[in-house]
Amino acid sequence: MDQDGKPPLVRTNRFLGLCLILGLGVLYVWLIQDPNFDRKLYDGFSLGFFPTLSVALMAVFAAVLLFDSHSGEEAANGPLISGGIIASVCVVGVGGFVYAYLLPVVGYLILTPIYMSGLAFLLGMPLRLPTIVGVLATTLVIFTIFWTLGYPLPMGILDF
Amino acid sequence: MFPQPEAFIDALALVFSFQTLLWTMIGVTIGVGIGAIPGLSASSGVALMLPLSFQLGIAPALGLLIGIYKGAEFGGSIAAISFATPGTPAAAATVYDGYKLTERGKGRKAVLTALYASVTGDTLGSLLTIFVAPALVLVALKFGPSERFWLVVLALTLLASLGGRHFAKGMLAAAIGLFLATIGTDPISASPRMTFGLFWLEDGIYLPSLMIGLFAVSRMIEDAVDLLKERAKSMAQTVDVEAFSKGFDKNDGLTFREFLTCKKEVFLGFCIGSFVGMMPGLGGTAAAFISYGVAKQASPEKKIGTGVIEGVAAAEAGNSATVGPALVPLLAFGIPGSITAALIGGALTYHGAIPSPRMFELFPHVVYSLFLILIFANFINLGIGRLFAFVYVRLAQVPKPMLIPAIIMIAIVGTYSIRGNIYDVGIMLFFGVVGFVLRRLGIPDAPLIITFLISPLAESSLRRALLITDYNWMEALFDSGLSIGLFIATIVFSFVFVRMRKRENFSAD
Repeated sequence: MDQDGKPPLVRTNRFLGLCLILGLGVLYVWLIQDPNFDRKLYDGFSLGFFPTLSVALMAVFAAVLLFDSHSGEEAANGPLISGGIIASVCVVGVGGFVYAYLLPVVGYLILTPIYMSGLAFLLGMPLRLPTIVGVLATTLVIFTIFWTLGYPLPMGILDF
Repeated sequence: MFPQPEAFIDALALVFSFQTLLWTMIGVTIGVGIGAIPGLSASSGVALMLPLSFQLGIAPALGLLIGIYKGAEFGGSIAAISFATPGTPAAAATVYDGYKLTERGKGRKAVLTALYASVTGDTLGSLLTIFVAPALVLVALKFGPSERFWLVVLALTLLASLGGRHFAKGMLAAAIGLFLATIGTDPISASPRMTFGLFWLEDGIYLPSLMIGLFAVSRMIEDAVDLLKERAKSMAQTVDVEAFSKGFDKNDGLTFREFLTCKKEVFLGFCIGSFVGMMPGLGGTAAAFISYGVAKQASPEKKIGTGVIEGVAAAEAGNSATVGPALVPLLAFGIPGSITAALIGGALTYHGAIPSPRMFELFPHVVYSLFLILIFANFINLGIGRLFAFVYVRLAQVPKPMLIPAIIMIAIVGTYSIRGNIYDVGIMLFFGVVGFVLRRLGIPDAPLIITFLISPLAESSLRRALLITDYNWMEALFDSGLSIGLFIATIVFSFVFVRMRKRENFSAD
């Protein structure tokens, strides 16, 4: 914060608006590279009309962020980049994608307890008996529900 | 045309079948649990169960989702009363009197008051829905393409204005939703549009992936960030059993006469909650606080705010009375009035009953089923709440490091199981990160998701209007008094809300 108690420019809505406008400009340039973007449809609109309209509207409201009464306020109610955030995105996002990718290969019954226990441990839960029991119980309950509905989950290496 | 008595009989058979009753009970049971756990909400629960609902028939699916919605609205009060931590945002107003009652050893009385007020407000709101929605449909059927276009624009303006303190961010969220809705296939020519060369985007962004990502996974990422920051504290998390036991005296029940002393507050909650529920963008939280504030002003002798059951009743009746009325704009106009209504609309669409004024004509048995479920799910909520509310208090103590993996696993498995498509999971996780970033930046998610759902309606209405009028824009957009009126209402509301926000900011300074 500066001497007046205002946040620095890079943390304000004004800077957010500026970044959004620049990003939207890049997005629009990328969109118009599509050869079908200007293709005329039988009702007179081009294929790119509504995407352009949406990008334009985003740019208009991003521009409003530069000037409105909240422009000098903090844009974010917490850090956008930190070690914890990167770790969470990796653990939840990347880890989740890997889990989904391996699901048909390894199988739900084997992979899910490993995934859930690993994630719980990374988030600070000691791997004691109550945790293991909770993980196994959740795995079995979800398996039973889907099996009852007639949508069995992948068995993977247990599929024999 | 409605009422079609034979459709009502079909609906009775659909709703009072073992499967529908069972799934409604499951929905309420899950919903109360979800509401009781701080950090989750009705929309998260409904989003998580959406893939499951696709695998059921339409009546059991509605029973499941509406059960979750109703259960969560009551369930939020359990943590609010027990631990001064609202289980859902809509239960925040319940904390003021609820927790004070617990501190005086009257927690049991407070939870029972919350349950009865919630069920009463919800039932009255659902009855109102049953009468109002068909009446509005008669108006909606007179809407042509240009009226529907301006109605969507008005709804989005209201949503952006009412849904947060920063109008520009609300409208930015709506514009993002519009952009996402253009991905997939052009609705008139069926040509691939904005697919970025990816074949798996040709059907558009898969709705369950978007919903689950934005509402469930993003919250789990947020919780994971907090946990990783405070890892030591989370490992030391324990239940203060002594404090909990002191707050809940088994002998301290709630008599019918005691509940009757809250009748004014419950009625106020029903009136305010029903009105607020029909307005896009406001929702249960606003209804609860407005009901609480009005009840406090209306009966100063009751000393609401000092730990009285009337305060709990006003807040809970207010937030629960929004449940049915939030479906009114969805059923009458095809425009969801809340995120949860949007999710239920998504489930209806998946089952082929697209929410619109014509739904009453084309799928009257679905409409009747919805009405019946809205009513009888309240009785199931009452039963489960009465029997298990104090069990759910324990559930609210489940450590977050156990809860987060379970929810993420359910989200991934649920999304993957519908089409067996890994890209659906990828989209879900991507929107989980996007939802987290949007929340950090104070960009509301309600305008985004509702615009995503209804902008195809706006686009096809506009293009149809232009085709009809041979591309005369003025005639297409302003061909009737009603469309001009809706246009003027949009301008006026935008102006009024911007002025209101400016005044609020000026007062705050």
